[in-house]
Parts: sequence; C-alpha cells; structure tokens
Amino acid sequence: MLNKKFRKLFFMPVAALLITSLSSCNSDKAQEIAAPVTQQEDAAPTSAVAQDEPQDGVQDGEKVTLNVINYHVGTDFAADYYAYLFESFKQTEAGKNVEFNFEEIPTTDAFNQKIKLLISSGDLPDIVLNGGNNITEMAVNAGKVADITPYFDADPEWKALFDDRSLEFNTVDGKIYGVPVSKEISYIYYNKELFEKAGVTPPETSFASWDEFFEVCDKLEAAGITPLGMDTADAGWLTNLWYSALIATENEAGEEWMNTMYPTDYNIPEVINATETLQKMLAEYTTADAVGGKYDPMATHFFNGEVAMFPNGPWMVPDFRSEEKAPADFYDKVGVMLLPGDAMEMVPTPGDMVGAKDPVKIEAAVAFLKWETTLENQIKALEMTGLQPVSPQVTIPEEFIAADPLMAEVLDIQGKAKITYGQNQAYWYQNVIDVFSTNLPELAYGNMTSEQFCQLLTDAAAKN
Amino acid sequence: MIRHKYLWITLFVIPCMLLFAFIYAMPIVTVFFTAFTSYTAYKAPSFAGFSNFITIFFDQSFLISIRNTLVWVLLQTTFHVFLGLAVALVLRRKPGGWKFVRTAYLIPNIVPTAATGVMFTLLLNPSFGIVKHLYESWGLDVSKVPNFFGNSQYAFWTVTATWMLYSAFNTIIFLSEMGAIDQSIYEAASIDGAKPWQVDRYITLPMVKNTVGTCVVLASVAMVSQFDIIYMTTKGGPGTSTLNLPIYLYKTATLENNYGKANAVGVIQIILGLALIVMIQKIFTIGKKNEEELL
Repeated sequence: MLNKKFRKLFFMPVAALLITSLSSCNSDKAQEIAAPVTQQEDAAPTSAVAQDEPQDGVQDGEKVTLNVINYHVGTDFAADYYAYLFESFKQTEAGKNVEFNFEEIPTTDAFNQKIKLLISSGDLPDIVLNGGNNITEMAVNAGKVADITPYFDADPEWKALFDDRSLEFNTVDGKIYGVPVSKEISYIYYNKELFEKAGVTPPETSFASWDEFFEVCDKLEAAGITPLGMDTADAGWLTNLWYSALIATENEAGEEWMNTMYPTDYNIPEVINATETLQKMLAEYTTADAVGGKYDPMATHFFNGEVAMFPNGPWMVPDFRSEEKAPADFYDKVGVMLLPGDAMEMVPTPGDMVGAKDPVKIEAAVAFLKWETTLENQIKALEMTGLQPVSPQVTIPEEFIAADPLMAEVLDIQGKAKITYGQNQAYWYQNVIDVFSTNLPELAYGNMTSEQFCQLLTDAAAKN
Repeated sequence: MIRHKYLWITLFVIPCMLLFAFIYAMPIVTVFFTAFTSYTAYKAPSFAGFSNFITIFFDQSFLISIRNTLVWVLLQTTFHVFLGLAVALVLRRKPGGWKFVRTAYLIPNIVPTAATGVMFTLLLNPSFGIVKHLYESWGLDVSKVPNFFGNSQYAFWTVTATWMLYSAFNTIIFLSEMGAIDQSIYEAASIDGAKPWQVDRYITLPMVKNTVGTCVVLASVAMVSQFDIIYMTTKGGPGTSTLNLPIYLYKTATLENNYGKANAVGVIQIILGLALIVMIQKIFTIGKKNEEELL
C-alpha cells in the first residue's frame, strides 16, 4: 500500500515534467508563451516623458547604451545597410556618446514573434525596428512605446520630410508612434527574353486590362513558357501581390476595400471574383511547385528564366546583379511594368519605434531615427537595398540613375500609377493571412469554392 | 530496510522534483490559471470562466487538430515502436554489418529537424525533386507528378513519413535492454531446440515488455507535442490536413495573439498527454516487476 502511494506521489510530477519538457524542446516559443504575465500597466508613461523639451541626441559626457533587436542580419537584404547605419550614427554629433547593445534575430518572422512576446511579457528594446505584423498597434495599445509627436513638432524640418499619409499610417489616436523609413511598392518584373521568344510586346506601363494580361499568359504558355511566379507557403507573398491587385482593380469599391485597414468582411463580390481568378492562375499559369511552395524556389525560377512574370518590390533589384543568386547577365533581361490597369501597390511602411523609458535613452533613440531618415541615408538605403525613399523631398542623383537603370525605371514608373492600394500583409490581420496561405492549395486543387475560401477569411477575421 | 531504500529513492528524485517545481510548475500553474481568463498581447488577464474552452470546442479546426494528434499518437505508438523493436530483434543476433546498420539507421535521428524539413520539401518538390526525375526516367507524364506537401490528398502521410520510419532511438533502447537479458536463458532455449522466432516470441519479447511500455510512452508524448517538422514543412496545411494541437496552439498565440485561448489549448494538451501516459502505464504495467523485487 505504502509502495503504491509512494509510486503515485512521484509519478504524476515526473510525467508532467516529461510532457512539458518535450513540449518545450519542440518549441521554445511555446514555452515563452506559457511564461508568467507582466502587466502592461508597468510600462512607464513614456508619452509623458516625451513631452519634456525634446533635444537632439545625447548631451556631452553622458554615455548611453541602447538595446536593439536587429533582424537585418546575416543574409537579410538590408544587413549591410543597417550595419552601416548603426556604425555611422556613432560618428555623428548626436550619436557620439551612444553605444548599441545588439540582439540579432535572423528572419522577420522570428523577430516579429519575439517583439510580440516582449510587448506582452517584457520590456521592448530601446529602438524597436518594425517588421510589420500589426506590431505598431499592439505596442501602442500595450503602452510600451513612446509618443514621438513632440519630437516631430519640435523639429519641423524633420517632420517636413514625410508626407501626411506616411505619418498618418503611424499615428494612433492623434499621436505619432512610428517613424516611417521607406515606402513599400510592388509591381511586375518581366523577362524580356521570354516575352520576345513568345512574340509578346511588353506594354509601356501596364496591360490595359486583366483580359489582355491573360491573353499574354496564354501566348507565353503556347510558347512553352510558364507565365507567372506564385507561391502559397509562408503567407503566400507572391500570390498575395496578385490577389491585392485583382481586388483593387475590380472597381472603385475594390480599390477602397484594398485601402482599408483590417477588413473583416471578405464575402463581397470584388474579393470573391478576385478569388476565382486567383484559382485559375494557380491552376493554369504557374509552376508545379507554386502550390505549397515558398518564395525562394519561386524567385529561383525567375532568375533561371523559367517564369516570365514575377510580382515583387524594388528590394529584388540588387539580387538581379548578384552572381550568387542570378546568372551573370540577368539584370539586362529584366523589365518592369505596373499591374493591369496602371495599378500599383504603394503603402507607407510601419515605422520604427522607441521602446525606451529613460528620458536620456528616448532622446538617443529619437536621434538615431532622425539619422535613419536623413535624405542622404534614404538615398543610401535605395542604393544599398532598393528600399524606396519615404520622403518626397529626395532627389535621386544622376550618377545613381546611370548606374542602375532598372531602379531608375522603377522610380519613374511609380508616377504613372493611376490606382494605388495597400497590401494584404500590411493591412490584414495576421491570422487571416495565415488562413489565406494555408487554404490556397485547397483553392488551387478545387477542394473548395471561392465563396468558401472567402467565408474562411471572414471567419478568421472575426477571431480578432 | 525498506525505509532505507525509500530514503535513497527520495534523494535521487529530489533534483527532478526541484527542477520541476522551479522551472516547470510555475509556468504550468500560469497556463492553467490564464486558460480561464481573457488575455491577449495587450490586455491583462481578466477572469472569463470556461469561455476559452467553449470557443475552442466549437472550432472545427481545433477538433481536427485533436483528431490528427491522436492519429499520429496511434501510428507512433504502434508502427514506429514496432519498427524500432523489429530492427532491434534483427540486430540483436549481430548479423554481418550490424554495427554499420545500427549507426546508419541512427543518422536520420541526429539530423536537425529544420534540415530534415528542408531536405524533404526539396526532395519532393514537384518541379525539380526526385519524384519528377523518376517520372522522367520512367517516361511518365511529368505534369502528373504528385505535389506531396502541397496537396491535402497526400500531405498528412507525407509529413508522417518524415519521421515515422526513423525509429533508431527505440532500437537503441531495445538493444540495451536485450543486452541485459541473461545469456543462460538463450543457451537453455538453444539446448531445448527453440527456433529463432520462438526465442524472440517466448523469451526476448516478454523480457523487454517494460521497455516497450517506456518506448510507447515516449512515442505518445513526442506526438502530443510534435511541432517543429510540421511547422517547417506545412505549418498545419494545406487547409487543416496536418494541423495538430501544438500548431493550433502556436497559431492561436502568435497570430491571433489570444494567450488565454492558447493556454486553454495547452491545458487540453497537458491533460491529453497525462491521460495517455496513465493509460499506457496501465496497459504495460510499467515498473511492476522492479517494485516487486524491491518489496
């Protein structure tokens, strides 16, 4: 009897330990989720701190160390640029007394998860780089980031660098919390050689309609060329870009819907029609591995000349010249065009934020954000990463245009867009994007109708 | 004498108990507590009764994740453990090259899961994977190459295949237990004219029964918490075809940012795991023989 009790006494905790330890082995994140809660209320009233007279940078003699979690590391397209940015800031007057304490987290996805957990259970880094994922709204609601409005008000010259839309995008309840560092745009890259092989003349800016676009797709297919680059895994980035354009160009209601933050009703004709077209594109006009496939293999298809049209942003341009990623002369084979009907995705980026609570650190962090958005550094970012300048005041140097004609074409074509719209990954709830991504294969293989697909998106949005 | 033995057992168990209390008990208590609260990334927990549990049990995706988890537990505790046992029974006789086979069979188990995931997705890629090359070499229509991870028709079994066949850890455990069996028993059986299968059936298998139970417990617990390879390959899709409890929990926490609901799933996961362990322990009466000897 004693034996039985003794056995039971030890058995249950050991068994629970076994489950939880194996569970945590499989997912560190899951363990972190289970961590004790830290209340949002412990966040310092950073906005109040920021109300004090803002100054530029750190005063003489003071040494300040800023914590930064950096996801622009390793093979990230902007790793070199951010390394330059942090290092060069320390050479400036405002940053001469600033040191950085970095935590490096490769990939935007891992970075975003970490920031979300910190919003809930810990302190954010002093400078919060913004990886999207609705982080601005979450951080503001949790009271974990500083109101930067007083700093903008105190420095009209800095504020004037940004257009109203960019600042509004980073404003919550009338207060600016994020400093936009670039503008996100996307359009279509096409392979000139494959177009020529299929006897297709590329349009000057875009195909006039989706009907014309699909006629070209048919021509390309008839010539044995796969027309479109698409994917479904990891949020289905490429397919997202096609989908956004299909909805926005359907009619005015579609355009308005695509410029709405956090839509909750997907059962509208514009979205349902776009879903039907998307189903056709996945079934007929893309590579066999697009369904279930990730972005990287699809980009490789384009680099290898296996796909004629590929939607993406300007950050891809440096890759065309990279001999590690693309054939030597690939850059010259690429042209750009807008989405059918002169449409283009164009959204301000969610801006970098200040998570510091100490007034001196807030000063230093704001000084860095000012440095990050100087006109010179916006041009530097364009040169090194393809990131589009957020400021309308930026003048692109002639030598840059001569050295990178494709990027010059990208800069030029932006002004010709008649329809501009937001992009799903910036405007939709994260769980809706996941439902979109995981159910695209079901749509592609005809296991569900476009109406059912849209209902799933609506149901997912309702969970938020 | 018995008290003396309990003293030693207690001393040896104390580190585990302390580890459990300080590192795991608190988070588990938090999980149980917050499962009954409304708690999001930017909202402090507030009592919400059973609402999280009601919500998840009315969610079709959650029910599918339970079903998939249980199917994987069933497969892992039967086929996977049986495979490890079968290989151990063969290797026990030390046939030619047995050491090589033992080592080679272990290799897939020591490859990082992330690498395994990437390897399988590339190998089975319908555009440039090995299956396409096989179709080409056999003169088959390459447009009919199955999309193993991308099509829900195949995805569940494809994901299952990424781990189901690699049972080397079980083999190693079985081999060590078989090595501890008194050789005189085998010699006696040999003198009595027992055939190899009779030796396995009537001597080896009964002698490793407790170890089978242990492997079944480990297999079932591993499947209740299986996450990484599924996340690396399909993230629970296409649709919900490979969705299991940990993936459902992860998505609830990180995409919906609903920690209360995620912890309700965690509670279900812990209860399910404990129930499986208790059930398996009853079936295999693990540890009975050892305790009898102690008494």
